[in-house]
Amino acid sequence: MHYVKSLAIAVVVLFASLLAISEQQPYAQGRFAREPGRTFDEEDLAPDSRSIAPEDESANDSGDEERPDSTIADEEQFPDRDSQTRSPMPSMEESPSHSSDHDAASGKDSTDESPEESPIVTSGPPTLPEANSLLPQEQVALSFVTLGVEAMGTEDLARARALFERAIEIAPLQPYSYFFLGRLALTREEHQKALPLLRKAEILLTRGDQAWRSEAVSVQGAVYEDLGELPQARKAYRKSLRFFPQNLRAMSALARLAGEEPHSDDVVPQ
Amino acid sequence: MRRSRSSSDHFRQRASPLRHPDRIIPRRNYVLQRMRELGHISPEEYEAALKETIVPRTLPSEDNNAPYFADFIRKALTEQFPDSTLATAGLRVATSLDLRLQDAAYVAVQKGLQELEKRYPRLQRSVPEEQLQACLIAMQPQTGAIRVMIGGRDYQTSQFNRVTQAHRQLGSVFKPIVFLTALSQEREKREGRFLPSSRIADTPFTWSYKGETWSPGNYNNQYLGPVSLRRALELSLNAATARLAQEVGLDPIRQTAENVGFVSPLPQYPSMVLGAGEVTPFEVAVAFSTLANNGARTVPRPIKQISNQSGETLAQHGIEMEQVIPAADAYMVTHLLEGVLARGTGRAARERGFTHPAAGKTGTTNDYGDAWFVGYTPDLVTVVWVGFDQRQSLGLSGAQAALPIWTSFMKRVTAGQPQAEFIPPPGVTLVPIDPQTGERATAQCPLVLEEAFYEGEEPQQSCSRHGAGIVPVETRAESNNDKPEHEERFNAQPGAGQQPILPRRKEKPWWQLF
Repeated sequence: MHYVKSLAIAVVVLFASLLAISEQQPYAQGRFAREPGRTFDEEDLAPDSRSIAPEDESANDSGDEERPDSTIADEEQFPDRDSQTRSPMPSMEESPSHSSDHDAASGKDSTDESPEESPIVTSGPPTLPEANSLLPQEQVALSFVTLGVEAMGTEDLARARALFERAIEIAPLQPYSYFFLGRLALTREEHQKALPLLRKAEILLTRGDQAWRSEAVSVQGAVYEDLGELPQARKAYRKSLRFFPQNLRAMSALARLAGEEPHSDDVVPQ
Repeated sequence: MRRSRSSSDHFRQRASPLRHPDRIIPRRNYVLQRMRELGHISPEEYEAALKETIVPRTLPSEDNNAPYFADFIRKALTEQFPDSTLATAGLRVATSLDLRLQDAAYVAVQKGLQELEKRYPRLQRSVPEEQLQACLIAMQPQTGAIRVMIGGRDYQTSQFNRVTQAHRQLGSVFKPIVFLTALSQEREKREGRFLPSSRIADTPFTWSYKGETWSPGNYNNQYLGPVSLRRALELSLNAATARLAQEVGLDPIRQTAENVGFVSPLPQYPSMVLGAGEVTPFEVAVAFSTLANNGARTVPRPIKQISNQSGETLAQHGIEMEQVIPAADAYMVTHLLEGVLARGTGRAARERGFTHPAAGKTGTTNDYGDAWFVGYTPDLVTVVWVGFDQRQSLGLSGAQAALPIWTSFMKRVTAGQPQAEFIPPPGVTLVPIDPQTGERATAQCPLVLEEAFYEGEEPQQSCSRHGAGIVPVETRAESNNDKPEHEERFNAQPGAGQQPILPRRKEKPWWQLF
């Protein structure tokens, strides 16, 4: 038991140090909603969930088979990752939830980033479900969500909000619109509005994609962190990892919080 | 307060220029005379006003599908914009009304009232203004969108919007608030006392309060002895509910009622817990929307956007949501209310063919003056009230008068729709129990009830009556946050909670075993 605990701490610390290198991690920096003039980038719009690197290529392949609907994060999104270690999945452009021109909006230049050797590969963020797998009204709602995400990418937050709300009206039991509306509220520093929306998304994802569920909880952690409620934030991040242990964002946040204020419970549950 | 509002409503009816144009002139003249005497107007103004003719406002045509809602919107606009803007701006108002649902509700209300009058001829009235009335409001709990508003039987006869203006006693519709308070208090104290499976005595008792006594009686004076909280709510047992309320306290119950959305002042005496307070159906819809929306109260949103003729947006009303009670508490009550439709006073909805997962509660007042049914699916809350404006007795319960209208409406609007379930939030676990003992069900238990528990408070002991020591049936964990293998569980057991009663052998129903 002690060995496992130590190993878990070591893994968290390793991730934290790797993420500290990357300046592209809004969650790793925390309090992203407070950054003045901050633009949305791909990572904001697509919940992040990356898997720990397998030891060899075969393991990597098997990971792909487990999540056939995942898409790989592109080079702009995770510039610090070695492209050799990415899983061969469809590009982000294929995902309806991600606009391909987001980097222009965020002003990032992926070529400036030097990839580093890393034991981590990206299994890709959870993507919005395929439209043809949904009921008609859910398909319509999802298209509104997609448009809302694009509006967020261009910083048209009012339009994004209207689109997400329209999506909720059309399919009130679809979680993605709540998630993004909660994210939007967080960006506007409307923390008390963000929390019930993110909780709603979490509940609706109970029987859904656990990576998304993990992300909904992880953003709750970010809300609490923004509010300065660090114990609650830790709790949320830990919970997020229970749903999806590969949620690197939650891991890094936990590691960061552990660094700020050591806490005996800041151990990733295995 | 209630009495004065009621008197005011009656006066409005009597003084209506539409119905009694002969009465309005003397009344107008009297008011003008008093205004002159008090110096509010000059003698010249008085004389000029006397000469004016009264032109009744033209009512919306009968072709208008939602006249009560139109009035409601008009009133909201007058509070938001000056008259000059309303008259000249050519406002375009995007509302949340769903005309398909509105039409279905209109049909359900009309047919429902006609069937009641046909079946119970004593309910028929010859004077149109005194006819049996009903109102219906349907709300989307996640957005606060008002999908349907039927304010009365016939707008041309009565423009009184019973959804927003009629303050009526709630009856047993209020009981879920008592249970919600009890469960949430317990959650805070963690004493393990009040759970859905906890026992409470359903026996005659007297509540002494501030020097007075109150003895709530059950329907037909039948008492069931020790019952679970679930059964007390499912069968709407007054004595058990009042006993529970006494344990919980009036002030916390009142506070919970305010939190979930009741705004009318509730009485300060014990009968409040059995629904003696008078509220509007609109408030009831908001309160139960909070339950349906996992404890998050949404601000009602009849208007989505207002723009002027040139398309410029003047006002936009987004979704406003506030977490007012924990999601776990809201789900616990919803789970209890699912049982009302499955086995309790609302089971007629199932017998009438409504099959979608839903929770609901009947309500009947002491003198049978008000019949309520409020029920909800995960994405639609519908409140139906039936009664007389003159507060005469219906002689019918909520299940007899209001439930058929609710069922008819819900069947229409959910036809062909996928069956969405209520999803337990984090912190709640569904555990199969033996309803007789409240302990974990075993393979030998004749009947199994899937009960909701707060995590950590699940019964640990296997059923002692039907084979203690036998490995319990596997828990249907929905959230199980502490277990990483949750995903497999979810996938392995879809649809948990749909059929809470899982009969093993053909025996008497469990609720008849006590």
